[in-house]
Parts: sequence; C-alpha cells; structure tokens
Amino acid sequence: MKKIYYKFSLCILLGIGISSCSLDEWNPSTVDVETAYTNRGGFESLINYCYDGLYYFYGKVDGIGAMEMGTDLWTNVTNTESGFILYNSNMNPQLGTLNTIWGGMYATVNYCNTAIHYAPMVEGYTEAERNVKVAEAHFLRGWANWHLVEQFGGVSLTTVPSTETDRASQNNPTRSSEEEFYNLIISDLQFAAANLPDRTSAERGRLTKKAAYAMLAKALLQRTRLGDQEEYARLALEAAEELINNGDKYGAALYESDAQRSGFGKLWDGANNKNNTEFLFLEAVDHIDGRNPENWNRGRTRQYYLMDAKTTGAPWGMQENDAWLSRANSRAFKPTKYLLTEIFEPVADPADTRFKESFFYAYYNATWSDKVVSSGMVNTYGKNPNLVGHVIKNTAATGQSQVEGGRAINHMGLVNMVDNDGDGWLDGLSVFAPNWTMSAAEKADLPFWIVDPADMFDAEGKWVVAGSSASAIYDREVYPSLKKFSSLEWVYDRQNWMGDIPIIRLGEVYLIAAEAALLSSNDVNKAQTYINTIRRRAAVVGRQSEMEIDASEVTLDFILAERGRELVGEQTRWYDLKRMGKLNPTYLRQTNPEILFFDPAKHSVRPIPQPFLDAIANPTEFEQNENY
Amino acid sequence: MVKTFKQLLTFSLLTVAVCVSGCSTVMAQGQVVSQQTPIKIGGQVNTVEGKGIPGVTINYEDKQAVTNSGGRFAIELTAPGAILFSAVGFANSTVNVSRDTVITVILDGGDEVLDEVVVIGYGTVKRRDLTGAVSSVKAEEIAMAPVANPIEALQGRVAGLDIARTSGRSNSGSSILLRGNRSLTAGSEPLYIIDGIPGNITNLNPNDIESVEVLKDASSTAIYGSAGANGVFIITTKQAKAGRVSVNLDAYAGINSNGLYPAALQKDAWLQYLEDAFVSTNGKSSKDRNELLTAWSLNPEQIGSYIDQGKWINWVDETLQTGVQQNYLLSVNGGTEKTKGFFSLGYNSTKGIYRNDQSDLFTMRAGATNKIGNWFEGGIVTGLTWKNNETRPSRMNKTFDIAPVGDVYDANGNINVYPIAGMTNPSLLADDIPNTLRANTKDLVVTANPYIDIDIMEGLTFRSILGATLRTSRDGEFNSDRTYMMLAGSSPQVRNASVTTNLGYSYVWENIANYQTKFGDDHDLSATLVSSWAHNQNETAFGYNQGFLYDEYLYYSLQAGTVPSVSSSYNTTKRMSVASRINYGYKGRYLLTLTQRTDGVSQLARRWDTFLAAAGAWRISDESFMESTRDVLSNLKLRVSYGVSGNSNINAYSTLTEVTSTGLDQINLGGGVLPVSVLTNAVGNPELGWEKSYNFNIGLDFGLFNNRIEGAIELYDTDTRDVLYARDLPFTSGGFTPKNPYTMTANIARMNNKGVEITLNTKNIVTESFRWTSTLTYAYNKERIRSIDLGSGTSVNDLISLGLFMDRPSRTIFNYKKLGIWQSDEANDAAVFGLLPGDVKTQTILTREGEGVWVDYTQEVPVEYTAQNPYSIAPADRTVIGQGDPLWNAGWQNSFFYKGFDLNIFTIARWGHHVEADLLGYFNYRAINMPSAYNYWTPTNPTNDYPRPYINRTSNHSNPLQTSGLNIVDASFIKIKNITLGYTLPENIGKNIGLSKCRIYATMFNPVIFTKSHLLKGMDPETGASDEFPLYRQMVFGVNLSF
Repeated sequence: MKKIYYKFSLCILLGIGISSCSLDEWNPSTVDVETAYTNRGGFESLINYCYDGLYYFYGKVDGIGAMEMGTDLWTNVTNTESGFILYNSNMNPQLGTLNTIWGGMYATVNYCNTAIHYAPMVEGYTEAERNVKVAEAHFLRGWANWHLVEQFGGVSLTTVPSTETDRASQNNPTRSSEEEFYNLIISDLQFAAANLPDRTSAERGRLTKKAAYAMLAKALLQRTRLGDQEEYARLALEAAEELINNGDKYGAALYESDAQRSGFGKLWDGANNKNNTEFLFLEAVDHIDGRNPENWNRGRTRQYYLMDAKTTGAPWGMQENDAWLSRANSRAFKPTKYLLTEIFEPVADPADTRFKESFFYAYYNATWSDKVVSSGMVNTYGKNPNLVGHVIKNTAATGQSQVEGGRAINHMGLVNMVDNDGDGWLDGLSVFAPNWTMSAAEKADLPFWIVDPADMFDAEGKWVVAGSSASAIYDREVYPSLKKFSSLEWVYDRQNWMGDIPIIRLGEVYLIAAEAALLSSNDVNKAQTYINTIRRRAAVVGRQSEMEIDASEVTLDFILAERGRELVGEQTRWYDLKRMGKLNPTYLRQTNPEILFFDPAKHSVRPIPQPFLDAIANPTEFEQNENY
Repeated sequence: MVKTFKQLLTFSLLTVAVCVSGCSTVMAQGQVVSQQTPIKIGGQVNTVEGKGIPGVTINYEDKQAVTNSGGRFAIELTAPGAILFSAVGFANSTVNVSRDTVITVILDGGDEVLDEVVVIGYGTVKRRDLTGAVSSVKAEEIAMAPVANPIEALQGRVAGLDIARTSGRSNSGSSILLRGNRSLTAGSEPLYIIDGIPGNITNLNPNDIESVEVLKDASSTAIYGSAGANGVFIITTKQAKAGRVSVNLDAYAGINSNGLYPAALQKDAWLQYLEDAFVSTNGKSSKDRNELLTAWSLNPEQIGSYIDQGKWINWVDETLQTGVQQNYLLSVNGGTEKTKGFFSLGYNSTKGIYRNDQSDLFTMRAGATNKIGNWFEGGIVTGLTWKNNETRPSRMNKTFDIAPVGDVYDANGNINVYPIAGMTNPSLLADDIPNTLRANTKDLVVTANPYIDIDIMEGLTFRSILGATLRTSRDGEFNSDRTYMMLAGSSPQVRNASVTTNLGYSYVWENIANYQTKFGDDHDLSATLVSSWAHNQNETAFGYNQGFLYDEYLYYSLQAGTVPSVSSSYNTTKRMSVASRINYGYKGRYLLTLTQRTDGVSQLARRWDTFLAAAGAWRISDESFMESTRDVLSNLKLRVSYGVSGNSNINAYSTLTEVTSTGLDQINLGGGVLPVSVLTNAVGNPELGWEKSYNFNIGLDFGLFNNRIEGAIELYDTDTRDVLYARDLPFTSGGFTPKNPYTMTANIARMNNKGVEITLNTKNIVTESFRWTSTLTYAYNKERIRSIDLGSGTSVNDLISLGLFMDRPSRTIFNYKKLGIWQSDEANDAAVFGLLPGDVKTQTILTREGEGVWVDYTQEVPVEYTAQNPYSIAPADRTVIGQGDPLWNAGWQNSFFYKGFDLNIFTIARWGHHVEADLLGYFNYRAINMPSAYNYWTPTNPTNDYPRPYINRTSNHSNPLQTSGLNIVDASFIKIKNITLGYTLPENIGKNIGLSKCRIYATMFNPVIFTKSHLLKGMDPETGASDEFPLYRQMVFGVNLSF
C-alpha cells in the first residue's frame, strides 16, 4: 500500500510540474513603441525612414507616368503606362502604378504622423533641436499630401498615427476637401521652412531650408487653382524670392554659362551631380555600396525614354545593350511633335542649348565592330547607292564610371569619335534623329540614317504608323531620347544609373517666381527678369542676348512653354498643366493629337485604386472618383 | 548466407536497442525456475481456414510466449493449468492441459474490422466501441502506391480529406484540407501525432508507417484542444513485437517523365500567329517577313537566318529531363517480453524533371522499451531525418516571351548563353550552366521521445512522455553574375550569395493518467487525465554579401564580398493545457464519451479557454430485437457527437504594435547608411481571442451480408466563430512600406461547413483463388461565410480585398467573367463596349435590349449604351465565378488478387472548383509567343477560347486587354492516380530462400487524366495548371521483402 503512495506522489509531481511555466511573450526582434520613440536615436531613425517614399517615385516608372505623362510633351510607344499617356481605358482603378502612389504616399504620411505624434515625448531634446528634426517629418508629410490631393483630389486626410487610430475609423475612412488638404500642406511646409537648418554639412539628401522654401513655393502656386489666386501667388512669390535672394545663405546657386558650356549643360553634367548647387530637394543615391531602397535597382528613367536601339536602329550599328543609352527593352515614352518642334526651336544651331543638353539625338555605332553599309540598307532606307561599302566606325569600348569606385562599363562614343573623312560628321555616327528638318539630298547622301520630324509625323502632327509610308514602320521607332538621367559618371550597367535625382531645383523656383509675379500683381518686369535669368544661362557665352525676351512676350503661356524647355522629363508637367488650366481637350488636341479620350469631368483626377475600395467597410460612402 | 545475414541483423538490432534504451538486454524467453518435471506442450495455432497464425500471444502461469511465423509454438508448464491464446483480430481461446501433448488450436477470426484496434487520442479503442468519426489507413494501403511523401499516400483514402500535390518539384509537399476551410489565415494544417507526440509527418518514410488514424469530429479531437482543430492524424509507426526478429526490406526505383506542360508556338504556326496579329493591328498583310518581324521588334537580320535554317527550339523539351526516383527502407525489429527494440533506415532519392532539381532524404528511426519492474516501464523512440535538397527556379514560362529559334548549344556542346547571336534574350537554360546558380538546403531533424509508464494499481496507469524535436537547417544560395535573371536584366549583374541558418527546438511534455474499471457485468468505465506543456522556439540568422571575385566561393566565403548585410530573428510560442475524458459503456451497446480541454496559449490576448465535447454511440445491431435481421445486417451503429474546438494557430506577437528595423529599405542620404525603424508590419490587436468551432457530427456504421459490404456515413455541421485572419489594412491609415500594407490579425468572420462523407468497403468477389475488393470514399462539403466583422462594430457583406463574400466559401474566385469571344455577327453588340469581333466577351451588369442596345438597370435611372455612347467595363462588372476548393472529392480503389498476383487501380476525383491557371494566362497583346495549345480567334476561326491577337492595342472604352478572366477555368478532374501490379512469391518458395514474404511490383502514376474543361488538356489540374514544376508521369518498380 505504501508503494502506491510513492507512485501517486511521483505522478502528481510530474503532472503538476507543468503549471510552473509561464505563457508571457518575449520578442527580442522588436521594441515597444514608447521605448523606441522616446529615445532620441530611435526617434531619429523613424525620421530617416520618412524619406523612403521618395525613392518609389523619382526615377521610377511608378512616378513618371502620373507626374509627367498625359501632357503636351509625350506620347506612347506601346501599351506601357498608356492609361497615363493617353487617358485610355488603361487608366482604371486596377492600375498598379496608381496603387503604388496611393500606398507610398499614405505610408509616408503615417511615418510622419507617427514622428510628429511622438516628437514631444522624446527625451533629451531642447525645443529647438526637436523642431529641427520634426520639421523633416512636417516637410515630407506636406510633400506626400500634395501628391495625394493633386493626383486623387479630396481623399482621406490623416494627422494621427495608426497606433492612435481606432479600428472603426481605419475601416471607414472619410474624405476631406482639397482646401483642407492644402491648409495642412501649407502649414506643414511653413513649419519646415521656419525650423529646418539653413544648410547641412554632410548629407546632401537631408532636407534643409532650401527644400522647404522651394516646396512651399511650389505648393502655394499650385493652390492658386482652387481660388484666392492673388493671395497664394503672393505667398508663393515670397517663398521663392526668399530662396532666390538668399542663395548664399541656403547653399543654392545657378550654374552660369561659359565659353565651353552653358549653365544648363553644367547643371546636368555628371561631375556636378552629387554636389549640385541647383538641386534643392533631391533623392540621394548611394553609388558606392548601392545601399538604397531596391539597392542597385535605381535610375531606370532613361530606359523608358529610349528609342528602339534594339531592332530598328540595329542595322545601322545600334544595339540593345549600351551602358550609356541603356537598354531598349522597356520603351514607353516618345516625344510629341509639339515638344520637338514648338517647345524647342527646330533649327540646327539654336542659341538655346537645352534641347542638345536634354536629349540624345546622335546615336553612334555601338556594336564593337565597324559597320559596312550594304545595298539592302541603301534600298530600304532610301540612301544614295554610292554609299554601299561605306564604313561606319565602331565607337564602343570599355570605359569607367565612378560607381563602386571605378566600375567598368561598355558604351558607345568612346573611340573613333573623329571626322577623318572630313565630311563634317563623326565617322561613327549611325542614326541621327534631329528636331529640325533636313533636306532630302542630305538625308539621302549622308552616310548614316536620318529620321527628322518630317519623317516622324504626319500632316495632323501625329506619329506615323506602319504602312503610312514605305519606311514608316522604321521611322516611328526613331526619335530623340531624354538624357538628363544618363551621365556616364553614374552608370552602373545597361539598366541602372546611380546619379542623384533632383525633385525640385533652383531653375524651377525662378519659373515659379515668374508665374507667381504675374498671378499676384501682374508684375511683368519681375517675371521677365526671372525668365531671362533662366534663359540666359541656357545659352553658351556669346549668344545669351539672343535668348532674352521682351516684357511683351511674358505671358502665362510663355511660362508654360518655358517650363517645358527647362523641366522636360523632370516629373512635374502634369501638375503644371493642371495648375494652369491646360488639362482640357482643346489644349491637348492642339499639342498632342494622340490623346483622343481626355474627359475633363473624369481625368483631372485619378481613379481611387480598387484594392483600397475593396478593403474598406464603406466603399459606397467613400466613393470612387467621378466617372471611373 | 541468408542465415548469417539474419544473425547479423539480429545482432545490430539488439546493439541499437541497448544503446538507445541504456538498459540491459535480456535474451531469455521466459525463465523457468522449477524443481518439478515440466509439462511440455507443443503445437500449432491456426485460423479456421487452417493457416498458421504468427505472433499469437500465449499466456500460461505467469509467463508469456508467442507463436512463430508459421504459427508454431513450444512451451513448458510447471504444473497442469490453463493456456490462453490471444491475437489481435481473433477471439481468445483457452486450453487446459495436464500432461505433455501436441495440440492444434483454432482461433476464430471473429469480426476483424469491428475488433480492429483504433488509435485515438491518448489511448486505443476497438472500432466496435468508437464514438467519434475516425478513419484509418493501414500500412498495406500505403504500400500499394509508393510515394516519397506520406501525405500523398493518403490521397483519396479518407473521406472528407482533400489532398493535392502542390508541384512537381522534387521536394514538393501537398496541400491538405479536412472538411473544408474552417479557418482563414489561422491555417488548415492538421495536427500530426507520431507515436503519441506531435511531429511532422514528412519526416517519415512512408514504409515506416503502421497505420494512420484520422480523427475528424470535435469529440475525437477535443482531447487535443486547439492544436487539433483542423483534425488530428495519429500516426503509429511500425513497432517492435516481442518474439521473433523480423527484417523487412522495401525498395523501389522508377523514372519520372512527361511533365505536363504545353510548348510555345513554333515553326509555321508561330509565323502565322505573328502574321495574324499583324493583320489585325494594321488591317493588311505584311509585305514580307522583314516587315513582319520588324513590326514585332524582332531584328530580321538577327533571326531571319535561324528561321531559314529551321533552327527551331522547343524550350520545354530542352528544359525537362527524365527524372529518377529511388526509395529504400530497411527495418528490423524484435525483442523479448522485457525488452523490445526496432530500428529502421530509409533513403529516398528523387532526381526531378528539371536539371539540378533533386533531393536526398535519409531517415532513421530507432526505439526500445524496457520493463524494469512489474510496475515500471521505460522507453524511447528516436528519429533522425536528413534532407539535402538542391533546387533551381523554373524558367519555362519564359518560352512564351521569346522567339522560338536559335542554337541551344554551341559547337562544343555547351549551353549557349544567348541562343540567338546578337540578341540579348538569355537561354532558358542559362541557370544550368555550371557554377551559375545554386540553391541548396540541408535540413536535420532529430526527435527523441522518452517515456515512462507506471502501473499505479489495478486499472490505473500513468505515463509521462517528453517529445523533443531539434531542427536545424541551412539554406545556401549563390548567384553568379550571369544568372538568367541577371542576363535578362531583371537584377543587377553582380555575384551574390546568402546563407540562412535556422535553429529550432520544440518540446511537448505530457502526463497522462488512465483509469479503467468495470462494475457489475454491464458497466465499463474509463477515464483519462492529461496535463500538457508545449514550447516552440525558432531562431534564424541570415548573411548576405555580393561582389565576389570568383564563382568558386559559392556561399562558403561570404566575407569575400564587398556589400555585406546580415539579419537575425527569434520567435517563441508556448501552450499549457489540462484535459480529461470519460468513456462509459453499458452492455457494450450504449457508449458515451465526455471530453474537456483547457488551453492557454502565449500568442493570444485572451489566452485561456475551455473546450467541451460529448459523444454517444448505440450499437443497434447488438440489440435483441435486431437478431432477426442479422443475416443481412451484420453490424449497425449510430454515433452522435457535439463539441467545441479552439484554434490559435497564428503568428506570435500579434497582440502588440511595436517598433522594428526588420524588412525595411536601406536609406543613405549621402553620409552613410542610416539607422531606420518603423512600426511593425503586424499591427497589434489587444482583443485577440480564440477561434472556436462548434462541431456536430452524426455517423452511421454498417455492415451487410456478413460484412461483405461495410461502410460509414458521416454528416457534419461545423460552425466556426471568431475566425482569425491576418488582414491587410486600408492604406489610408498607413502602410509598412509603400508596397506592403499593415496587417492585423483579428477575429474577423463566422463560417460554416456542412458535409456528407461516405466510406464503402466491399468484397465484390471472393473465391478461393480470386478476390476483388473495392474501397470508395466520397465527401461533399458546403462551406459558407456567415458574417464578416472588421471590429469596432463594423460588419460588411463582402470584403473583396480578402475575397470574402457572404454565403460563399472562403476561397471564392471573384473576377471578370469571360463569356466567350465576340463573333463576327455580334459586331454591333461588341461596339457597345467599344470592342471588335475577336475581343473577349465579358459578363457585365448590362442587359441586352436589342442588337447594339444595352441598358444598365442598376442605376436609379436606367442608362442606355450604344456604339455612340459605349460602356466601359468597370470593377462593378466583376462577379463570383466559382469556388477554389472542390465541392466534392472522391477516391476509388479497386484491388484484384489472383493467386500471388495483386492489381490495384486507384482513381481520384476533385470536382466543382475553379482555378486561376497560370498556364492559361499567357495570352497578351504584343506577346512574342504563347502556348501552342491556345486556340485564338481569327475571322476564319470563330472560337470562343482565346481572343484575336494584336501587336498593340489601345482603346478608349472597355479595355480590350480584358484578359484577366481568360485563365479562370473549371478545374474539375478525374484521374487514375496509380495502377500497381504486384506479385507475391508463394510462401513455400520464399521460405526456401529464407524469406517470409517477397513481393515485387510495378506502379504507374498519373497515367490517365480527364479534365472537365478542354482548355486544360495537356496540363495538370491537380496543381491548378501552374506554370512551374509541372506534375509528371512516373513509373516505378519495387520489392517488399521480409525475412
């Protein structure tokens, strides 16, 4: 019997032993919010991440379509982003790029809301130190909300972080008016302008006052489309002039022209990319270790704008893979006739260097071997038969970029860039796509393939289509390609380019000032001064006076065209048309006849992404934007 | 020779037994200590048919013995007395002896099925006494169709269990679903109990399995609490038996071939496709091939010569190879009454149908038990699994992106990186070039389950068992600077490598007390009490670097790169439980089971809950009033059960929002990489509670005509409340990263599953030399969502982002529905949608009122649409197309035995579900190529399968690119899963060569597939016609040997 007690005790001991364990959770890979964000280092690490959103839109297809397309400057190559370019049925609530914009901007707003919420609780800050840091969050919230209101209209405006939002309001978002959006945007940017440091020593991508004044001026000017035009234009002018007049203080200056190169050329010179005095607000890219969002996968803008080097240009010596031109497999955008021949002056030797400095239009033999003109080429492209046997010299070789401290890159234009036969053209030239028209004789006799606006466009100003002429099937794929984001110094490989990308630069601030001067008090002289400053520095020394305009020429339409010349490809054009009331069928038909479907009652804002409407509890109350 | 081998094996077995148990081995077989002259009894135990029965337990005096393989025995008694003969599946028999004699004992086969022992949670019960819904699969059935993954062996054999293999990858697993989805994200993975302890079934060699019991209703699973919410699979491995040493060898080898994958268009068909699209785009034929190719952005100079020389490539043929599969299992077991041991060693090698896709699996299991005193027994089962898996990504779907021409190999027979000279489309075999890409995983799993059994007193036993598992794995990945993805420009060309190591341990400690008693003649009572503690912990470390100088470093020299990055993580969950169960039987006819389980888990906010269940059964056929029907109705039992089970199977740390630096982009504003931190991706839900299923089950077991036909019908209704779901939150309140929304796990929905399950075993023909038996399983399940609750009182009817629709199953396919293709005579109707004949006809909310006039009646004021005022197809036109899980599935096994031959034909069906088939989704405008199986529309081919191709297509109104519905298809199918032909050597011949059993067989897998939709022809519906690692046909040859 005693034995049974022993046995019982043993069993009970084992059975009860379990209850001594605890069910509490321990998670060493996270830290609680209070600990994290009342700590100065933790709080600043959150501020650092508020910059993440920028990297999803600048130099990315997700931003280019929404910010630059659907305007007078560009048309489509294939179906890629054609909803943005043409306002066709691809502009619908399922469009993936729109969903990225929606998600990216709201993610940024919430990071900033979190930072702004916890800022007062951070220990070890003086009031001034706190304001300097939290001003970055205010700025970026303003930036993100600005894109939201411009792209989508009056959608959900949030000021509290997700940690402080109850589930009911998360699931039942409400709309705010565009004016309410602007009130917050402007107060955020004003806070940033007041509190950000004048300059920063080490980090070129970190926000300072120059970014704040520029963004504030831009937002205030855009606000004029909602009314109180004079008041907001006056404020915009004030912000812009603060920057223009105090360039030294804030570290901003225009590049000036010299005998070798225009100021505009220097602005885009790769040598100036990583310490650019005109970049006010920029996306800094790590070119040494590739420690960026998506690591090395940056700077693919040039790929979308490139002509067809892969197929159409190939018989003349172009190739799909050239590190300088980039890779011709993601082509999406090509210039309109309006951009090539009206925004830019279609002459061979303009005083304005901006076309030349913004576009590739001379393409060199990139095949690593000489190309001999064949009789087939002569026949197909209508060249003079005596060109058969002519040698187009190879210009490709291995060069070096500054990426990773000296990366080998293969590109055209490195060797044989000479004119040995003395015909006035480099011997390696393969394809030439000028924005001016050349004579039929020149086009037949010169030993390279020429496609000029006369070949590119039909009588209506539309791009030629296959069959409209014998060579249309080839001509439609050849055009000048945007090269603002292609400087050799920052080429990583045929796809990726590791240069910094300006989001707002000083040139634009001059044009904002000019427009604001006109809108606030019709101060034509002031506007003229600012415009001429920009125009003078676009010419090389000696031809600056040709660029100056009279006060009589200063109009809003002129400013819009000037913005096109200055800012083409810089992801701002759609906002400019919207602000200036040019998102209308008349203007678009005039300047971009490919756009057939623009409906002002629908296309002034984008559709709300369907995945969002599918995820909320009140899609019928929140409502899709009109007519989508 | 054979004898030596047997001795050797005996020796090694015993060595293992000693090593494992640490106990001394006693070889004696029943020590006799006696002064008297012993009574010698010898003889034979036979079935009624006269066949010897091996392994019959012989109890006499206080000793025990067993019969040998022929049913013979020899014992010695000290004094006259009774001998009790007993064996599983037979009625007991007692013989009284008083002097030396030779006897023949005949054991009555009795009711084999009803007396079959069924393993249930924390105990066993005879099938006769079962109250819950339990299905069993035996070793013999598993042996019928040799597979590498034990789960696959269960496909179609258990009514209510839907299993589908997920891919043709060598290491692929199976998806498993019991009685429909009760849960959303909280997982539908059942609980696997291996020899009493939770484990992972895929770590077992299928031939090691003695039986699998599937517990389906809440009353059966209740004792396992939350872990058993999705059903419990109790796996019993082959254990040692006292008595003779037996050695088994199972081996098979075979080939895998004929991956079901459509090739891309080639030759004239391809050129015709290019031309058809040219014509539709430009309204006229192309002038010549140069114009045609240029229009497609193909450089005629580059590819023209390949076409002229007829250098076509079928990339599917080039990619797929014939794979080889081999499996070996050697097992040894034996022992004495006091000490028993077993040991098995398995090896499976699969070479997949892709190059460099292969896996090697080694399994080792060993166990021993030792009776230390008359009231104390100890034992241990250990297992070791070593997996070495080499894999690669599938690039086969890229065949639809490239021109089907070029040179696959260069003059030296090496793979050409660029099959078309001068073009940058890389070879689909680029990753197969040596030193280009490696993805290797090594897994080691060690389990040790020691236990002690204590006999406290008559009827009361106690067991304490520890189940410890240690897992470690290493994933190594290496990409040279010329992998397919890099050559294709999808990732930067830089050598990179990473190593992930994972260290996990988990243990379950359980204490089980069992009490069994009988009072009066009619009352059986047993009670079980369990306490349980589980702890799961996982740690990972990840290292990455890039910029290596040499391929040769693989992932073994991460320090040699230039841009290192590291990460690590930790995760723990814990559970504490107490459970009890009472079984009561009255006269063996009225049975009652009551179960209680209280669980506490670490990952919920409201941690503790108690789950109760009750079940009753009535053996109607045992009633005296049924006596008259017994000739026809040999068995009839009604079972009813009701119970609650809980589910807490969610990620740890779901109750708190915290701050993390994991999974974020790197930010460098020009002064070096910056520290970053944001709120965690998972937003905490401080109200998180248990998901609970309320399960009602009625079952009827029956046997007809002396059990020639027997079976079971189950009806169930499961209502699941507070379903846990990790839901993406709307972006307006922020997101983790711009493309990655916040998620919150919440008790979000209420769901219901109702269904019928039928199992039917029939002995169709039984004669002396020929037998035909069949097993049919059928299960129908109707699943629906009864409410959706977003928290804070917000409930909605549909939540499209999660695919949740009221009164529909949880996996519902909601999309644009393709009705067909607009035909030439429907041009006026197509124009209402801004479309042309040849475009996809999509179902919309409009009603056709006449040719070219359609009206939207969903608006307050109906809107009329015509060609002049066309309608744009919009999200409101999306509709529910079907459900993702089969409405019913069935398995039908037919076995034929003739003399030594056996033939098994096993057929499965899954019916009533839709899939979004990758392989049907390659129709795109401007696509250079497409699967040759696609029948696309042209003015002269008025099909309804695929629309008219174009090189480029944009339009104002309805998106002609409305191709999103094209790949949605009814995936119902019937498939002969396998056919096996076997031959067993007659016993007497086998014995001569030292074998007690010898069977050789051949099996063919997937020989015949019938799909409901003609679109799925040549694709495998079981994997949903996915576009990588297709399933294949397999032919294996094998032997089962016993010594």
